[in-house]
Amino acid sequence: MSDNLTDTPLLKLTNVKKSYSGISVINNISLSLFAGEIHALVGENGAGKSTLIKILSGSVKADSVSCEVEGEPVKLESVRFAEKLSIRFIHQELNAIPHLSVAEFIFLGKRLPSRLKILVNWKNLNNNAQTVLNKFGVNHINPKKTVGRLSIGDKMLVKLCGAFVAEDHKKEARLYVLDEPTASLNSTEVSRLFSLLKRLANDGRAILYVSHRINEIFELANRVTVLRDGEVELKKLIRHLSVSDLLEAMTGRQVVQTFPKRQTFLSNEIVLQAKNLRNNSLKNISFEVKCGEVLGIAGLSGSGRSELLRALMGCDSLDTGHVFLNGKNIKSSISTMWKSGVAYIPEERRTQGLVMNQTVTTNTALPFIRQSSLFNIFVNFSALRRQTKATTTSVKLRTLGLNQMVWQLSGGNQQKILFARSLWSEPQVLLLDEPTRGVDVGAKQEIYEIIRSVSDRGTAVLMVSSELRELIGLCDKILVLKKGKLEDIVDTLDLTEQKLLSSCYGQSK
Amino acid sequence: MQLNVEMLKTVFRKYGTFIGFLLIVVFFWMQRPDTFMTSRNWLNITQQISILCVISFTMTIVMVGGDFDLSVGSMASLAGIVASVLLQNGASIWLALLGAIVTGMLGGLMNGFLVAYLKLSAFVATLGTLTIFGGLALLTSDGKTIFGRAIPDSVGEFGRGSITLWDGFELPNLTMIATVIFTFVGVILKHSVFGRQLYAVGGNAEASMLAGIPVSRLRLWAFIINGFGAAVAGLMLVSRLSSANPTQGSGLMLNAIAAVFVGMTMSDEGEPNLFGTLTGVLILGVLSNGLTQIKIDTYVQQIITGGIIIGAVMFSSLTQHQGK
Repeated sequence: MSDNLTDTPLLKLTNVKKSYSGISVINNISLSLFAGEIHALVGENGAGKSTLIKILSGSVKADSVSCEVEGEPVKLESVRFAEKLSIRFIHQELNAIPHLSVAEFIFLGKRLPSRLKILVNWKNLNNNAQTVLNKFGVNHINPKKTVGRLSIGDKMLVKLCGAFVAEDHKKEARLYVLDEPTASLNSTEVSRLFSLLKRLANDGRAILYVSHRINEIFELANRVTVLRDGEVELKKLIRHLSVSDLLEAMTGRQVVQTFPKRQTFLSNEIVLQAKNLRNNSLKNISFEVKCGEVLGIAGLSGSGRSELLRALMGCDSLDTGHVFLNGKNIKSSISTMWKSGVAYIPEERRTQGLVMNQTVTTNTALPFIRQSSLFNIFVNFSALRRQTKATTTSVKLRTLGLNQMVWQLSGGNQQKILFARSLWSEPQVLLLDEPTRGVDVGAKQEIYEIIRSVSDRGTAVLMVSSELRELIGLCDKILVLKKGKLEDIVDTLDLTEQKLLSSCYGQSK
Repeated sequence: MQLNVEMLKTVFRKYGTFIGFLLIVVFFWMQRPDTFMTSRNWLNITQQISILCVISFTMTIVMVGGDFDLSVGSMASLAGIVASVLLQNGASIWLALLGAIVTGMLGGLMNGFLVAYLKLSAFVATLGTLTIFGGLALLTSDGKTIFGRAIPDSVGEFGRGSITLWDGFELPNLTMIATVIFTFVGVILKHSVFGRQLYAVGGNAEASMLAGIPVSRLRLWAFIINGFGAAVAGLMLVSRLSSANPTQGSGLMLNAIAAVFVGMTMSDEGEPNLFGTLTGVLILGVLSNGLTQIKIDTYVQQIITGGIIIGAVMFSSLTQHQGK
């Protein structure tokens, strides 16, 4: 791989500038990508990563940019550029088309094998899809299955497979740009993706990899470019860097990514108790949570982690089993749960959490519009705004105002709105499903601090996460689920990621 | 420089439809300087559009929740027929009114139940009830138009009548009803818990449900209110024409949906809103009034109206915000 930077880069962008209504978003950035390297692009939200990628993909026009492909100056967006360099973009958003079959989705936009040029040759299509899936080690997905029925992780894998299929076998992409592809993948799926990327790089392709996950970058990349406030902060070979160097470059301050320690003693009062929960995805699960306890829920995707939270919240019905809140058996409907002080942050912020075309206030106050109304009929706007102001301040939300539309906010700030909603009235129980997914390092740390301070004030927290590190760092105990069964309850003292992972796979003890 | 272009774009995106409306007004004003821009003609226009107003206003509620209702036209016809048949059989006017309104709300209940609880698509469910209500109207009236002595004179007088607000200014009764419904719907959408929650449901039903909002109940009530609106519109039609025909409301549905769609171009996020809907209805009303005054054939009018609806929505999607 090219440690030798005097080689001619495959793509060289210099002097990239972009401003929106006079505010500079990208200021004089340069970026060189060499064939055969995996180049990480990191930075906090708002540092200019996504704008840079949008400029590269042509969806945003830069104010100024000069571009060279293999040493020859060409205009970005020109036909010549597209001829010389074919780029494939893989975004974090899924945009899966639920009605299509896996095979159709993989070959979407490419010519399908046909009979008589009119009819789809389903047999060949499915075989071709199977070949692609096998090539990437994704053997467990049936190409005939409908995309809508796959788990999130599987959808992402299928999409990735599709992106690596060369169009009409003519033009293979020479540069792949991946924007947070692992946001919804579990560790097995991530390692599959990584081996695929490494193989592509060894074949002489360049890979530009955008991620918030620091350890991924150290595992995968050769070089890293750090952006901060629209400028290049650091450009280095990854092996000359330490994690704290990188974090410092990203945030401009020394970040010690540590998990805030518990400030108070754990009480013995049990606030939430689940007895023999059973439905389609859960098999006889019982446990209890004390006031102020942080209980993690670990497991592979499909183990019933999210479904457990959904069942507790009353989103999915139970065949048998009871949920007790403060010793009282509650028949849970979602609205009564919110009213009795159980707050919930769902897994997918955009589709399940937020109403994207509404304001910060509406989204924060969503479960409480009726509660704070006048005579249960008229909205009490001033009360909603007052409380929104208070609770969004407490989670350090950064907005242009409470009337800003949430789609304009960064991922981290969107997630903070969901936290603000949960903390509207001091909750007794907080259910969190992947609370730090797709959130930058700075915001992540802030979220950890929110979780800790909430639990210090006596709220019981149940937290599902694919990041084992944060489960171990924040939780007192971890429930390990496997195929809907409660495999184990492990104490986080002296727990390592290795141990937790193997217990997720059911190989513990 | 770039700043100005951006600002201009914003202005056009938000007010383009309204500017279009003003241009249409100016056009007819220039064509018919003596008759068009008179208070008399404008009161006339408000009376002409009052029925479409009522039905479009309540349709806005349904569409805020992310659904729509194809059955309003035949629901209006049915409600009118029910009232007229009651009158024909000697019932009092109040009983006839009550009968019509209950009919409309039951129709809305049926639509809402099918869509919100049985999870049928709004398109299929209300297409079905459109046909059912149409059949019921024909059945109840025996397929005949009810007119003449069957309908008391006072009914027709109300529809043509007006109240004098001050000297020389008479507000047509039908316009007044439309104004009342406008206020009612405006308060619901802007200030009621129901309305604000319904906007959230329309934006993201799943997120709303997970936040504990009774999504199905809200959608059901949106349909019931729309049934109420259809019944009121049906009664206004009977009153204005002094007769009831089992298909006389059928033209309303497409115009109402078109008005809401035109109105949706007037909000930042493209959601239905009452002032937008009002502008939409005004555009349709002014077009029909003005084109008639400059003696354009009604068939041609239809083509022009359709073109303008498409033009408005297309223009607004062209100026849509980039980053979204």
